[in-house]
Amino acid sequence: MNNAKFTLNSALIILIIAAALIFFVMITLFDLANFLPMNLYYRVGDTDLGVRYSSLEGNGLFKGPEKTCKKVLEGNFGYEWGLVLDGNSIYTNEYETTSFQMVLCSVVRIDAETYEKEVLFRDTILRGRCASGEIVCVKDAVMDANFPKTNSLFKLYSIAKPRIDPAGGAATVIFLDPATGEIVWEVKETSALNDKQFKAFYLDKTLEEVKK
Amino acid sequence: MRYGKYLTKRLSCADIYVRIFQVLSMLASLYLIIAPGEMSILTKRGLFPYLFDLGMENLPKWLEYGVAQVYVLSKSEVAVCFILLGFALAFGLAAGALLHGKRCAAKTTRIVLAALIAADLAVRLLPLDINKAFGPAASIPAFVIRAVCLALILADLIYEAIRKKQNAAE
Repeated sequence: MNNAKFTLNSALIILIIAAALIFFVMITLFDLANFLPMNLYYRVGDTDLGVRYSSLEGNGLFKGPEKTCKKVLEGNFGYEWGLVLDGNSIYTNEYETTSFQMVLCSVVRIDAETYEKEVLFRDTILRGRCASGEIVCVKDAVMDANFPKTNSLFKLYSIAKPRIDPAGGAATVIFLDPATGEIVWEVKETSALNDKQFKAFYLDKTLEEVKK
Repeated sequence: MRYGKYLTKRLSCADIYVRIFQVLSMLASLYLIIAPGEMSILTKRGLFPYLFDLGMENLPKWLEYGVAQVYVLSKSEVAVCFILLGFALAFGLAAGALLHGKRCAAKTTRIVLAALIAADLAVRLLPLDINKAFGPAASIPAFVIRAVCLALILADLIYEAIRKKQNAAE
């Protein structure tokens, strides 16, 4: 041991072991912190389906009355920014988290009868319906809660997703036909609009007014 | 002074390149190690985010793209950290063994490293999306560092060629 040298390789091994311990502790703490008692329920339109966030039964799509509903599809589905019910199709956001709790969003379509889920667009946020009924989404974007302008991890993420603007500003606003889920119009947006501006520019207008 | 003499006697220019690579990878991983305990590091620009940007830009472009793909597929920053550190360790061990092994293998290793770095520098000059992700604040210094590393390895090769000539003349 007297002749042992402290090399850079040794320092790397020590750093790897320290990182493993730190990650184990911190990510275990994240999981414990997420386990806060929660029971929120949002009915989907006039159906007997509802989006539920529950610490005991997990999150997902539930069927039946609120107090006795049963889970039919597992997932973290959105409600606050727009859940669109059109005929037998439910369009909503599905959220996934990374190990550091960054939230990634995809737009999904769920069949209200068979409960089959289809991912329509990844890295896309459903914002609601415009005045003429088309579904409005922001494509190739990440949520502001991930701090895209300052977060270096987001820049790494954008390398594998070249359509995402690494500066976190530009995105594409798309209009979907609710019957088919196909894109009927898209607008390249280069400014990060806040909720009020987005509502005024896109949600409160018909598609024809947006096209002008 | 003695450690300085040890460094100049034992470390070739190619060894210095390997150590630069390892140190930058370690500094980049600090951002990932600190972030779970101090999430505010994600909300503002500072030293550790910049070191992460510089460390990622210092990786060869193929590895940077691979790490990004792993991140998207696994959704795990932990995996990114271990790939960074694991590759730096593996590179250091492999390069150390080859550069201090047989003369033929050491020369071949230097030539391969120089070729790979030169190709990487050429890719960095192309207007690709991968070159824009971390911004010029990190990509320009990383380009300069890798150009210096290429110069170091070429200096090694030139020095070896001169020494071989001198030995042959003697």
